[in-house]
Amino acid sequence: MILTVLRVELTKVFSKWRTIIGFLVIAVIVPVVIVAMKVEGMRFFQYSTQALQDAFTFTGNLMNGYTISYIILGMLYIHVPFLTTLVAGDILAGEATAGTYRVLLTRPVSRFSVVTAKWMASMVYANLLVLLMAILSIVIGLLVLGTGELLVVRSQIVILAQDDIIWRLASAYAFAALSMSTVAAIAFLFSSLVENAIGPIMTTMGIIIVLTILSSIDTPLFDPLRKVAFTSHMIGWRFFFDQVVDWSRVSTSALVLVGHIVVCFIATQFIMHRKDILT
Amino acid sequence: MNVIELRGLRKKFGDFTAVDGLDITVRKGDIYGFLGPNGAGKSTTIRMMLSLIRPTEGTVRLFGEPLAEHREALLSRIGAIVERPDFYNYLTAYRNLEMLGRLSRADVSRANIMRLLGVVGLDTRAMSKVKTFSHGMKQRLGIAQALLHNPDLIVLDEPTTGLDPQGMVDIRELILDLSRTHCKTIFLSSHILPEVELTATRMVIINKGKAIVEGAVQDLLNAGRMKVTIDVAEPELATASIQRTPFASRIVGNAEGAIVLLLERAEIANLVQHLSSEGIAIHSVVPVRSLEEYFLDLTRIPS
Amino acid sequence: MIRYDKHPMKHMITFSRMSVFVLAILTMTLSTLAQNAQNAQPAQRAQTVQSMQSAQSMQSVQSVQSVQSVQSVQSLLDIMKGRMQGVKSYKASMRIKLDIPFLKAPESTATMYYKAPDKTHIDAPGFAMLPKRGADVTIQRVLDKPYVAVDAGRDMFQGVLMRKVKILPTEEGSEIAVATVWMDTAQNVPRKVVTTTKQGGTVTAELVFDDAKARAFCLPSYVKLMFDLGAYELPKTISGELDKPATQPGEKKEKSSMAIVEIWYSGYQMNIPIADAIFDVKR
Repeated sequence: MILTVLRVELTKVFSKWRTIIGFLVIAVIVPVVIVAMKVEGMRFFQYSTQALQDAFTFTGNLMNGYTISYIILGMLYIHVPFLTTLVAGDILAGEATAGTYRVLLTRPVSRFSVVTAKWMASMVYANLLVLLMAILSIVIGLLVLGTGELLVVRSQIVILAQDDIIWRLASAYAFAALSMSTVAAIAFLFSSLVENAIGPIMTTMGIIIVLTILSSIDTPLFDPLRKVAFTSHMIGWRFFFDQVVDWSRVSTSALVLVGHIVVCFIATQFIMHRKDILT
Repeated sequence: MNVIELRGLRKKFGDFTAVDGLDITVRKGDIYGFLGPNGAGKSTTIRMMLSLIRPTEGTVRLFGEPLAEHREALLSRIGAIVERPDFYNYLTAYRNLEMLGRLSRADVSRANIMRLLGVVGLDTRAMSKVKTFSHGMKQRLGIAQALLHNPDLIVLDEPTTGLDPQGMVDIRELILDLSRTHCKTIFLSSHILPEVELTATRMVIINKGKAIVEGAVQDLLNAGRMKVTIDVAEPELATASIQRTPFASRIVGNAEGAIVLLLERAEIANLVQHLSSEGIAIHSVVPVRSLEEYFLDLTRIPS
Repeated sequence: MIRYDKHPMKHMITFSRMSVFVLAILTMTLSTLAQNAQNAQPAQRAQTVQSMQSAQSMQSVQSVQSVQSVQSVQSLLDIMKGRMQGVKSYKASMRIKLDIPFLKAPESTATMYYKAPDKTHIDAPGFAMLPKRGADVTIQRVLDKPYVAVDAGRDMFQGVLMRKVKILPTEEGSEIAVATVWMDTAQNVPRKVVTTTKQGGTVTAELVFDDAKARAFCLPSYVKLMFDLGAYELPKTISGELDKPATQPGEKKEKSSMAIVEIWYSGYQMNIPIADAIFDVKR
């Protein structure tokens, strides 16, 4: 039965304009960034390797499809959560706003199934967003900018060999999908608490922005926050681009995110189980 | 067999008691009128019957089974409209029914959905998005979704709101047909009281969360005081004469030579006899009895 | 693909700051001497220091030896130059390994093409980082231009006693202030070269000549370049970076910016026809 509910929920999610907007935004931004990099890529490259420009001549194609895919993943890390919350924050609250809880929750389907299906639909959407971003950035990136080594500029410059890239990009996008699932799960929880989608969207984005800012302030005061804040762990995808991947950090971050997802899911189920439908 | 049994049903929202120990029994085949002014607790009761709201106290039994324990099985036998007919506006009428039908394990074949849309007169708008629908059209769609899975119990909350006169007649006939031809039990909440009067077999009137009166519609209509208009030749003389009887306090007005009193059925003959004995000519005695009068009287809402 | 204007031995780059003051005095004095010598022999050939008196007048040069030894240093340089000029063209495979504190890169490969007198092209199939100023700061370039050579005595290098010579370009506008060469007199090859530019950068190059055929032309099989990149700072917030650096367990954060570039050469093909078109490829 849950598959039937999921099918219905996916039909609803993918019939909504806000869902289409999410995909459109990705489908527009990614090619724009790639074209911009095609035009301005050398400047970006020189900026990011300025410490070495005086001493070395670079050969090869470092501003390639792989590098652009990495850059896009980093650039869109604050935008994709917004697109995710747009749908996940609406998925329960939207029913309250529209008054459709009344037709939905009087069907012979358990609330657990409905909430689970809605949760799964949110996850499907969040993951598809990331998947679309991955496919578009890599495919269009490779078509427009070609292949080459992956240039990573973080605390140090890392150049990754071509045969060492695909698994890293795939893992990073998988991790990004987990991060977006966490955002979706949080927005989903807030969505169960209110009767208007604006609330969960603003709350989730507010939390992400505040935690990101606080985590980036490098003082011991915020060290405990950095350890638990999901935003600190959402960027765990970057570990895949260290020359030697620190698997303990990857798994810690992944576990923290999974923990957030599980807690949010259980909390949402509990809230929805007890919720009186008054709209 | 009792289709609906509400026992000691109570719902509190903080300090406010919306439903206060309600007992209702609806038997199979009834068209059960559920009446009450705004805020009486009708909607809360219906939501508790459909498990949208958890009762603070009391039980809901449907088809003899407790709702809390057999929620899904029982809901599969109920079709309902609860308050406003709200749908997924961004989907077509057809798609709405198809989705809701799937969730109710209904026959969602195109033929069945189009048949239902035909029943409520929306077959030509099947592929229009619901956001283009008027309130009346949504109301019709609401009835269609309530009938999707061929339920045994149909709960209709204000089903004719927003319909044009013909629409109201159509729905009324549909309700009667469902009851008579298809042996459905209908739980009908309505503010359009003549509608209940015209369709319901039994009814309850609630106010402030409590049942005030419950029984067969005809019995209730025949019980209690009714408004009686007595047209007499000499109104002043007649009024003076009535003032000397125990009926003095029953006079509620007079208009164009007629005196209006609130009387019980048995008292009408006594009054006529008294006036005749006083030599007052009586042109006509017209008892006016409507559910509305009765309802307003019981719930003490000034007319 | 780049045009790269050098002999493989010429990956010797100078960057860091080193006793510029001392070298400037040395350069100026020797320039005067060299100028006099050039007046005597207009051919653009380097002259040896003839005057002990002049040499001794330089306070900081302690290793100027006898006229006889200076002449032998010059002859060694001439032999070396002759061997270098013996190759009119060549092609070789390169394997490049970088060791830079703030950069992690895989080993890269490239093919080098050379055609006398000064055409060089490096063709890399993918990524490669090649020391930049090697293009115009090279031993061959130095030896081709007017210079003075100062014998700096003998010095041990990797367990072998070498002849040490300081080469001071006298041409105006030369980027190089001084190049110190440790010469293996048995094989007549430079095994270590320390080059200092007028900007103050220093490059140390250690060379190995395992390929006998290549060695005949002073072409190395291995070059290790070491130089200081100076103060560096990576641009922040590229791609919205907000996380902390991923420090490896046990890894120390070093502020050193000493770059080490190791290049292995193999598959030398010398004096083969190489089309000029190869050198026209623009980067």
